[in-house]
Amino acid sequence: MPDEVTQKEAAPDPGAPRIGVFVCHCGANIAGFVDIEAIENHARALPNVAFTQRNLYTCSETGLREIKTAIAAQKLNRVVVASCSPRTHEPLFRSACREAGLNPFLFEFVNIRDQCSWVHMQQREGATRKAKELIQMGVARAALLEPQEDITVGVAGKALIIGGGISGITATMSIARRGFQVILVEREKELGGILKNVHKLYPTMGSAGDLIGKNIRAVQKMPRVQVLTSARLVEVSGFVGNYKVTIDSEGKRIEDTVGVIVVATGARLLTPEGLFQYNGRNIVTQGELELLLKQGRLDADSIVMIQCVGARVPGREYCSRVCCMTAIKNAILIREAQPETAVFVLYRDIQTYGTLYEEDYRRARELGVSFIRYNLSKPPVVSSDKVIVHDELLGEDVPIPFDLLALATPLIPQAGFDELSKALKVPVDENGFFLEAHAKLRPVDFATDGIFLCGCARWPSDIGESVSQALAAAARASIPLSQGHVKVEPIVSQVDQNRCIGCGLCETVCSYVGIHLTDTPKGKKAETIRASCKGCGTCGASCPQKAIRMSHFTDGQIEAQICALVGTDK
Amino acid sequence: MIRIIRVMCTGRVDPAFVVWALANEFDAVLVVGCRIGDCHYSSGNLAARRRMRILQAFIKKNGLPPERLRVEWISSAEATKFSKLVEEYAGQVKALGPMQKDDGTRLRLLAMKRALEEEKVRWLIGNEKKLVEEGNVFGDKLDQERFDAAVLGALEDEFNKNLIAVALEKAPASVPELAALSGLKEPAVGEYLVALEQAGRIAPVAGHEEYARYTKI
Repeated sequence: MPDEVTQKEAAPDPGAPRIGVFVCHCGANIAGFVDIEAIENHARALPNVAFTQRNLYTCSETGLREIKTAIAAQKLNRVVVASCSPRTHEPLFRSACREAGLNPFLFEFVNIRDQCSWVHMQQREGATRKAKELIQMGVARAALLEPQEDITVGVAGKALIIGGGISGITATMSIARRGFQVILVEREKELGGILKNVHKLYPTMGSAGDLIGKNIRAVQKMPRVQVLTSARLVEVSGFVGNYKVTIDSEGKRIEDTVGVIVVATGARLLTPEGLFQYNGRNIVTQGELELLLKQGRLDADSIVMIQCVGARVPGREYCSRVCCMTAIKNAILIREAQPETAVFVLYRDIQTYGTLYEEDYRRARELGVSFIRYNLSKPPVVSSDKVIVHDELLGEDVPIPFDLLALATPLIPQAGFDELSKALKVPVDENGFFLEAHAKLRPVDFATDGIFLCGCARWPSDIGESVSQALAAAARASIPLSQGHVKVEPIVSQVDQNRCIGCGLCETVCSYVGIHLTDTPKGKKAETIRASCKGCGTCGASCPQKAIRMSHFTDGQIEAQICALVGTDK
Repeated sequence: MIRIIRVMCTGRVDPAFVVWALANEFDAVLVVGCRIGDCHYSSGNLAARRRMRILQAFIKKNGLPPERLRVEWISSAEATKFSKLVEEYAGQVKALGPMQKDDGTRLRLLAMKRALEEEKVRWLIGNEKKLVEEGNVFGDKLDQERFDAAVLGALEDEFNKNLIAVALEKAPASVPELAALSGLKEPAVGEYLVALEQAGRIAPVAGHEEYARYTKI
C-alpha cells in the first residue's frame, strides 16, 4: 500500500537512565582553552551519570570505539558527547550509538568547542564553567530522552507535471524515460506555452516553432505519459509519495494518486496598458514584434525598442532577465534581413551575461543597432510617430522618429498562481513567483517534500535555463520515485487524542500539512501525518489543550534543560 | 554568561518556556530565529513573533522590565551580527540587574507560566493571525488593540486564578490571606476559589477558624 506509513514497533523503554558523558579534547581545540579535567569531574558527579571519559578526538576511530565499548561494558542507555557542532558531527555519533545497539535518539550533543573554547578563548575560567553547565543541562535533557524509530513511507510511482510549456514537457519526458508514469496537465487547449508565439531563439537563432513542435509531438507519443489539455488541478491532499489529486480536464474529473508533483506553470508577458502610448498597432510589445517577425509581416523603416517597460520600477522591482537578449536578437534579425531599417534600443542597463550573450550584444552593435541609455528619472517621451529620449551620455534630448515602437515588458507570474500556491501549500515570493526551498542549495525543490519547480514559474528564465531546471527537477523528483519509499526523520508531533478537542489550531499554524483534523468515533481529532511533519514544533507550542507532544523536543525535556542549573550562579 | 538551548524552530518556543527560565534564575531570555521571510520551517518564526510580542506585553504588565525578553531574527550566516547582539544584550541585561529570586517573585512567575498554559489564552494567542488579519467567515476582523486587550485580559484573569492555585500548593490559606498575597479584593479571591474548586483543583479544609482555609487537591 503506497499510503501506508510504517514504523517499527516502538523501541523498548531504555529503563532508568545510565548516562555516559564523553568529553572531547579536540586536540588542543577544546582542551587548550578550558580545564578539561575539571569538566570531566563535574560531569561525573551529575545525577544519572554512570560513566565519563575524556577522548583526544571523540570523532576518531578510537573515540567512537571507546563510546561503543562503554555502552556495552557500562550498560549505558544514554550518551552525551561534549565536543563540537551537531551540524557536522551529530550523524556520526548517532550511528556509533546505533552500532552499539543503542537507539540513536538516546544521544545528546553538547557543543563545548564553538560555544566555550572558541568564543571564550581568552577566558579559561569562564569557558570552563560554561562547559560544565552546558553539560549539566545536556545531562538533564538526556535523562528524559526517548528512543525513536525511523518512519518509512511508500511512494506511488507516478508524477504530476503542472504546465505544458517547454519546462513541463521536458520534465515529463525526462521522468517518463526513467520508467515512471507521468500526468501532464496543461491549462490551454494545446501544449507549448509561451514558445508557440516566439519567432527565433537566441543565441542559436533556431526556430522556436520547430523546437516546441518537435517536443510536443515527442511527448504525445511517449509511452507512460498521459497528456491532459484544457485541464487544471482542482484539489490536492496528502504528502510526499501519496498526493491525491483531482484534475478537471475538458469538464471531466480525473482522480489519481501521484508520488511527486512538478510545478512548471511558466509566466506571461505584461501587457503595458497605459505605458508609452501602447496601442497594439504601431506601438506594440516585444512579444507582438516576435509575432510580426514570425508571420513575416514586419514593415518599418525605423524601429525603436524601449527596455524595462514596467520592470525595475517601483512596485515591480525585479529584472525580467530575458528582455535584453530578446531585443538584441530581434534587432540582429531585422538588421540582417533589412540593413536599411534603423533600429534603436533605449535601455537602462544591458544584461547579456555569459559568453554567448555578450557576443550577440557585440554583433548587434557591429550591425549598426544604436543603443541609447536612458535614466528612470527621465524616461523616453512617446508621441504618435516619435520618441524623445534623454540620452544619458550626451546629456541632451534626442528625438527619434519611428514606424514601429516595441516595448520590452517583463514576464510576470501566471494568472492563478495564488490558487495553486494555496492548493499545494507552497510559497510564492513578493512578486508572485514560486519560491524554492533554498536559492543555492535546493534551487528546484520546494520546502515541502515531493514538490518541485522549474522554469519561469520560479522566475524569468530563457529556454536553456528552463530546460536545465526542468531536467534538474525531473532528476530530483525521480529520487523518491525510484527508491519506492522515503525515510522521514522521526522528530514529529504526537497527538494525545483524549486531550484533543478538535479545535484545528494545529492545522492552521502548520506550514506542511503535517497535522490535520480527522473524523474519529469521538468526533474530530487532530492527527499527525508523520510523513509530512517536519517536527518544527509550532503546533505543539500553540495547542490550547497541550495535547501535542513534540518527540525529541518535549516540554519536559526542554524545561528540564532550563531548570538544570538552579542554585548555580549564572 | 549565556546558555544556549537548541530547538528545531522558534515556532517550538512556548511562551511558558521563557517564563520558566525567568523563574529558574535566568535573568533574561533571547529568542533567536531565522530572518523573517527566510524561516527554515516556512512560517514558524512568524508564529513565534506573534506569541513573543504578546508575552512581552504580559511580562511588562506584571511589573517586570520587558527587556528581560528579546527576540531577534538573524541568519545562520550572520555570525558577526549574532555576536554583536549577544554582547550588546548581555550589557543591557547586566544594567537591568539580576532577577529577584525571592519566593513572592517565583510564585508570580509560576502563576504566569500556568496562565500561559491555559486553554483560553493559548487559543487566543494561536488565533491572532486569523482574528486580526484574516477575519472570520463573515470577513469581520478584530483590530489589533482590541485583540491585545482581549488576550491580556484573559492572561490577567488566568494569572490571578493560578496565583491562588500555586499559593495553595505551598500551604493552605484563607481568603484574607490569599487577598493579601495576591493584592486582589476578597470577593475576587472568592470567585477564583469557586472556579478552582469546581475544577477539582482545591478543596476547603475542615476546621473551626473564623475563615475557611483552602488547600490543593
